[in-house]
Amino acid sequence: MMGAFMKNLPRGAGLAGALVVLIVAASFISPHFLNPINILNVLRQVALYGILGVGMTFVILTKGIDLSFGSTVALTGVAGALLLEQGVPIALMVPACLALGVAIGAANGFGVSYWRIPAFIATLGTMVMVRGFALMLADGGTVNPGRHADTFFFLGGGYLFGVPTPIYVFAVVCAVAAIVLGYTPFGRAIYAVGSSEEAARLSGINVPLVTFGVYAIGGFLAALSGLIFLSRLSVGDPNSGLGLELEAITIAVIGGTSLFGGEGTVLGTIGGAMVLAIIANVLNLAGVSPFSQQVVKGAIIILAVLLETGRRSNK
Amino acid sequence: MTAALKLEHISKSFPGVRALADVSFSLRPGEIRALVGENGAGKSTLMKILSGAYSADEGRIELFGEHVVDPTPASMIGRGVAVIYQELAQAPHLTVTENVLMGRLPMRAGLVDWPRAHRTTAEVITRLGFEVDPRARIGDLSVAKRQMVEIAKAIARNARIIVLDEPSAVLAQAEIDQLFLIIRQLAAEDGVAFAYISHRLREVFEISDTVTILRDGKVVHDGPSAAMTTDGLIRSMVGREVGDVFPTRHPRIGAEALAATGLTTRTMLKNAGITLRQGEIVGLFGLAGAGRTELLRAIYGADPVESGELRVKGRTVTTGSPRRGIALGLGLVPEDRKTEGLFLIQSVGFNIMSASLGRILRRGLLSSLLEKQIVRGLIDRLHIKTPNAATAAQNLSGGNQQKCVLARLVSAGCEILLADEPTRGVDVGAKREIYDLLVELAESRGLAILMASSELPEILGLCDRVYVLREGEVTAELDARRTTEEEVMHFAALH
Amino acid sequence: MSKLIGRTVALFAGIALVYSALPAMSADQIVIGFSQASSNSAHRNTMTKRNQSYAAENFKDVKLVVTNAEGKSAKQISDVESLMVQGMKVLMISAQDSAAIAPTIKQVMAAGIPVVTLERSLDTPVTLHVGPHNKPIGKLAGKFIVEKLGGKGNVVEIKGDPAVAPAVERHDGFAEAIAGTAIKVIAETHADWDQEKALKFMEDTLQRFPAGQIQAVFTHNDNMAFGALRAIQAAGRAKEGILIIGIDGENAAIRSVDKGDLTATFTYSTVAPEGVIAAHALATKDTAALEKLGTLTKKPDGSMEIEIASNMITKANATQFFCKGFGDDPECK
Repeated sequence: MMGAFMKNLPRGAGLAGALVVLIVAASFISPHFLNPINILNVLRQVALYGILGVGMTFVILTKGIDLSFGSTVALTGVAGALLLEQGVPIALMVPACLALGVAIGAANGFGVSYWRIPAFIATLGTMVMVRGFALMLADGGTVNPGRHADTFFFLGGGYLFGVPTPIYVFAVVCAVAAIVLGYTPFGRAIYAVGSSEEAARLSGINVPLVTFGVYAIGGFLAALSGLIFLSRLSVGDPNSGLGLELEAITIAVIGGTSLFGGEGTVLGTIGGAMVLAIIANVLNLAGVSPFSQQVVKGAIIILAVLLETGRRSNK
Repeated sequence: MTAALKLEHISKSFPGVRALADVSFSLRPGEIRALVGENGAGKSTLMKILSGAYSADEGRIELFGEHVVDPTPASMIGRGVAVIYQELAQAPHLTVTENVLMGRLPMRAGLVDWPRAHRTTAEVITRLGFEVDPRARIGDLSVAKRQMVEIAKAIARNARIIVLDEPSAVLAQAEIDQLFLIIRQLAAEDGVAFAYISHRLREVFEISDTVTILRDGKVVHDGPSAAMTTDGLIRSMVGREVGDVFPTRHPRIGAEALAATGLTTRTMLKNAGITLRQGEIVGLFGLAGAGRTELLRAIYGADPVESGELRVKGRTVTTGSPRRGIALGLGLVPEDRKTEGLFLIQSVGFNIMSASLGRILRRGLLSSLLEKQIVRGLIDRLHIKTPNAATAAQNLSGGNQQKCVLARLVSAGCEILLADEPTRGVDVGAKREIYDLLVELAESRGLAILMASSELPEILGLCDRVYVLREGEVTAELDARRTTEEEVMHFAALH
Repeated sequence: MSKLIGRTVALFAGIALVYSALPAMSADQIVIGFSQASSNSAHRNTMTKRNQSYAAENFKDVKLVVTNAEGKSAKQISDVESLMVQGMKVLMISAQDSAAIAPTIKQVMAAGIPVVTLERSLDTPVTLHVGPHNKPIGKLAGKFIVEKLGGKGNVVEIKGDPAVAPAVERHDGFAEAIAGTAIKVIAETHADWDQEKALKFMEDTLQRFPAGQIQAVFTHNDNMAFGALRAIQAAGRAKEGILIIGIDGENAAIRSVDKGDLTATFTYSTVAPEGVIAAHALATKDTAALEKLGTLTKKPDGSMEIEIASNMITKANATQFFCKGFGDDPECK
């Protein structure tokens, strides 16, 4: 009965349904939820974590995983803060930090694709190493760029036409990601590699290069996210971003990205980021105790994924 | 004599499908009964009911005159029913003994009595007339040997009824012969009853006493095999006239398309050479392990080559990667369609376009409009039966999946087709469609086709020439229309 | 060939490293061992560095050997064992895990080597514990809020990681101070010492409680206080005069208090240079020096304890504390 019902639902229906239910429930639970400022706050959260979610989607689509996101966020934050402290102009600091992220991603990609280290292990290694670099650079504490940070605050903390800047950044990231995945040969190759590596190879796809590419993209987006965090907080904290990779994985999976590769969309990931952000927001608005919050969050994540897998397995 | 097995008026439905409707199926002790039917006819559902994996909605199961209520896999094994599946459920890291005596290893003082265990296993193996070390790891054995081990396991459990699901699909002729010998011996001397499921009709006549034909969940024929003809069998299976098994050939052979000389790989090929001309269908025959797949993959560039020369359309070339192979006009239909040929979870359109995205690239982006046109055209031309282009490839039948692989190669502008077992696991009806397709590609589009197959009739019925491989070497080049199965086997088998 | 050269160089570099790690032993020097738990916080790094530099400048008779357990209890145990081998006269230790290191410390004590624990006390008796107390700090902060608000108002409490003692004790002290007053905690969370988490919680909380409903934010560390400050500023509610109180006395927080952004911070001593002074005093049996450090209490089991009191830093006295806290401050270099 349930199976027959779910069978006829289109792709992503479970997620869309869950989102609608969540939004309706949230607006009943708290009168502040639909307040425009609150909605912008939620969207900013969607943007902050969604960027990582998109990066993780690329990696998971190839059946990979990247555990080094959180550390990369911390390292680029610290590196950016140090550069600002030294008086390096923003126009130089930003590309330098992004390049650092790409380098970390490239190291992951190299290990996974050419040395054939399992992604879990390779990125676990970089996760620890990169965290170490961040602590080394920051000497254990936070790096405070002082007045140099004020001009940079715009990227993560500022507004443009009344909308927080990170939302614009996220919109651009999503648009580009959606085009790459949906309308370029590289995007097709990502899905192909994730569906069957051997079939992809026999179809003439350069599998190592594609794998390398997705980790580099992941590193880039993690660095971008690190810069936004730095800008928002104005300090580089080597202990920040702990567990962000899990958040990113959660977002991608709630968004319908299959951990077995080859399945997932940017739109789904946006939905996943929204689900998580709304849950966190409404629990705070409702004044739910911090421990119960974790229980509720976990339960809702499982429920959202169940809805989606239920639909899929009944196809 | 009491029947060993009686399944009476069995019906089974799944949501939206009536898998079995009023099916009766019986076995006498010592009887070898073939169960045939197209994919989806209900064979595997029937066998799963017999093994206790499914419970029937209606009907009655009787074993040796005893009514079985609420069968479970464990209780059916206990009652002497053993099902040997096509994909063998064995633990590759365990030894032969551990597999054969799984769950019932002899104990002494709380520990496994290994000497006795190995002895018991060796006895069973000897009785079956094959050779294998009880201490060998399953993972190190050939597929044929593993199958024998599986039968040994059934015998060790005192199975009285053995179901064999497509046992020959992965076996070479000599191995099949040995398997048949064992089956006959067990049936005649020990009274074991066999249900034998196969797509290979020739085997059905060779091994079975009786045959049950299923179509759309119903029994359409039940009688002695000797009273049946191949045509009649096929007619009953597909429910219509199929005409000849193989299409009539009108070969128009052109210039040399491909010449490989002295191909040698580290593990298999030894100085192998072949030539292929435009419009020609050439067979590649050999027993399991002769190097058929390896030769195709080496030519295509999927596996590294130690030495050898390759000439494509008269020009000496280097391959070395599938990418390069595709650029040269080569196309491979891989042996394992599901893992190497297709992106199962992706759409039919995705699969068809995946090797020729350049065709739909406009200003750096893929045009969905162009893609739809090309995919639609190929679906029509190759008669791919699919609800639409967005359907996931895994939801298609084996034959249509194989056509998707072929469509991909056609779209990529493939001129030299290397097909590895293109009809494996495909229905009789769909086989003919694939033959037609191959013939069409060769005769009207001038493709050169090299087709590896373990089914000799297929090679002799379809091809112009045939190369025979043995242990990585080409042992003969024969005119497929003049040669005989015996002659081919002579070159394929050990002297 | 180049591989061979590479290996040779690596070998010599390795040997050089081992030699440099060995302490330069000198017969007339007192060896004091300092086992630090980790280097992933500015607080601990300042503890290490200030004790080191103080010893270098003031105790010519001391050789201070510092080890770092990198956050692993197992490494800390072997660190302490190697310090024993090096013949230390006193052990200073800032423990990674109070329970895990206890058996090793018992052995050190049994060997007659005095042990000084810094900041974090242990589950086994030691010679001396020197450090700040979390509960009094929480109480101090609570009292400050009660006074500032005239005994009534709404407070948001942003706590640290619920799994560690400082967060629990800072909360307990705070709760004790506001008990019986008309001060209410209207929202609370565990932000795990993380600035971004505090920021996000504060954003949502500001939505939940419109202007005029929040009088103060009490955070368990300065890092989270900055998060709350960011949220209040971004929401345009800085003009409401919400009190923002942090704990720790980070250099950046002290600057911010001076600027008037944060209302107050309460120092959490880095036990530097008090740690090495106490160790030196024990080594030289100079009890007078010990008593100068703070309130000295003697316990029935013979162990001693010195509590280092917290300093309240407000706009009135912030300039005196510039660069005396811990953590990065560009103005201090």
